[in-house]
Amino acid sequence: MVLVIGYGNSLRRDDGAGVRLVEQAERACRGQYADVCWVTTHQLTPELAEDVAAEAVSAVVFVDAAAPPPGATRVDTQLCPIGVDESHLSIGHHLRPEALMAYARFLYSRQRCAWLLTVPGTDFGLGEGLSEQAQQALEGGQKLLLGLLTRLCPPQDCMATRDGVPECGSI
Amino acid sequence: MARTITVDPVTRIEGHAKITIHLSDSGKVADARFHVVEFRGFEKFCEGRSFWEMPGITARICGICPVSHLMASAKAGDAILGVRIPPTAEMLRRLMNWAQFVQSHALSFFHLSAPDFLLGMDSDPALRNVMGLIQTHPEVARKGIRLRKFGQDVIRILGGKSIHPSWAVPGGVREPLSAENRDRIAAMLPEALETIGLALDIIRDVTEKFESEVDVFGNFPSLFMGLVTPDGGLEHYDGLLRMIDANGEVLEGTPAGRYRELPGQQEGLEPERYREIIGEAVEPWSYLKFPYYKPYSSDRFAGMYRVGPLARLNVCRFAGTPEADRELRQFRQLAPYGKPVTSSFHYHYARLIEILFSLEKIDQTLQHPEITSEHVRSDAGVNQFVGIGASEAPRGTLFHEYHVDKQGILQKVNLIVATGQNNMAMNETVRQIAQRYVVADKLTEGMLNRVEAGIRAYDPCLSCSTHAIGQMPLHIQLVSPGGEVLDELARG
Repeated sequence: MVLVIGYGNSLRRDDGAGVRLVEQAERACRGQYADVCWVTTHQLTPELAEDVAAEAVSAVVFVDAAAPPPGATRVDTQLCPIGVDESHLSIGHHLRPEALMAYARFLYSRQRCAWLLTVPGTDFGLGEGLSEQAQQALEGGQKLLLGLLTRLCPPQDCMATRDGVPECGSI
Repeated sequence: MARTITVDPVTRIEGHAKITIHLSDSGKVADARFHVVEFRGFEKFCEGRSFWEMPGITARICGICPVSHLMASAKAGDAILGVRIPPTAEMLRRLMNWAQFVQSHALSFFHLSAPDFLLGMDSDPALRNVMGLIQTHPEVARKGIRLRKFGQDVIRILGGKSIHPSWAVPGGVREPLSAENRDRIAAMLPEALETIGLALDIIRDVTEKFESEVDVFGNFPSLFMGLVTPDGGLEHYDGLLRMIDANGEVLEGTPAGRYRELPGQQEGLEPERYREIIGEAVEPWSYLKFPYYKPYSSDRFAGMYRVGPLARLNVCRFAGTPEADRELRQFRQLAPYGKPVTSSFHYHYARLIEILFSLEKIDQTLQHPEITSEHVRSDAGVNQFVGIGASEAPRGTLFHEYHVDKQGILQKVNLIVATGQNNMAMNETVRQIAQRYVVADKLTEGMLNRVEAGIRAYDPCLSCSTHAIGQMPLHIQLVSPGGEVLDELARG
């Protein structure tokens, strides 16, 4: 099973782009992908480590939004493999995907293939709705995400079960 | 020469704060302050909104304890509607509130404080964190994560999501509990109860090993305040407001341990009358207000009171569940008979007893024959123009006061948040610890960590209490009274 986790604060404008992308992609594929668990959440928390390390999970895709680096004139959605980073495990507003992978590895002795898909955002202020740039980036992001899922698991009717698998949906 | 030591930011707490320690010319600690540097503004920007929106808005004050604001806000809305919510709705709100206590207290103990307890206050700061705990005590770390997950899962089962659930509303709750979900929650309880047993064993060992810290971590006389049931039991959602002094004498309510002696006397004050006994002061060096007990307003320090787990166990006469009552009897042995437990170090122990109590109450409530009733909402319009909702958050008593017009549009909002009520006590704790451990020419990580650990005992929620954005880099400065930076250290 591939675990797709979109996270961010939808009341901080583009910070919610990761959640929006995952919701959009789930609707678009309409259950075509077997063994994909779609999760959306406000922020990454240590409890997700158990889901990442679940027996049924073979790979994890994190979907987030981030501001482009200073000076960048055009930034597209990025999809990169990520590893384990045990250096930033404090509990706060910013548990990173690499740190969550570290939790899974050290607590449950499970290491998964993982990727981070980052939607570029420009407006992280208070408010709902995405900026024009983030909205435009969603389409490219969805293609990247579904392309990755096609490589990881063949499109079939999705049959979700509860035993031994993460709790899917909005948490 | 007089100097100031600044710890900025304070680590392993929720929110952003710094501590300044002021040294005299002789290098002794003259004063210490806990500065809260966040500014939120909820009380002001909610004016003009409908009271119906307030549970959803105020839940976003905090990502750790949104349920607390949900409850207090919904209760304020109930008062504006002038309704009694259906019994099942109250049981469901209580279920979510107890789940919140479990997840919040578990976070505080296992993630924020356990590294100090199990790795030592003087251990390598690079490892004195959750990662260090995972490496040396993986089973404790795993169980702690799962205990918090229990609380989060119950909140999500009831409210649809674990952070900022849109579920408690004025008049009741949005969704009932199905039999299937009731059984799901019940099935998770045995493991949670086993984990809290492990945690209680740890804290009993810790209390013996950290005798020196117990002695100076906020160990001073103060008042204590919390909600109690109509018969004086431990209460987290409703009930009456009770205030006791440092000798255990009841200031608001019937003396603890005795039945009502006079006709009309009761266990505490109606929470809606909180303004009769609580005032708020301000200081220029912190965005956090300083609540105090008004009848003692001539001496604000005498009016200092503590709230939260330590206070709640001090003000109640009993817990009301068998295992929690057994632990409470042991807890009370930390103080002379009839007196309150005063060291803030014991907030940690109190927190664990409250987790145990919450789990037992969840178990009891799930067995109620009406818990799956679908009647969970009362209907009404605006019937009162002032609504006050009081509830216990994990960190202490929380008040939401709303003034509305005929259309239910907010004209005025006042929030008194748990952590704010501990503000004076936190300042006094910092000063007490600094005076014992900080010596000007022998600064060590362990000393500074003890100062931080004193704050962590209160498990402050600073995002709530300043009703933040961004993160400050860790920066320690040694500053002369004239503002000259004598030395500085940056990390992270």
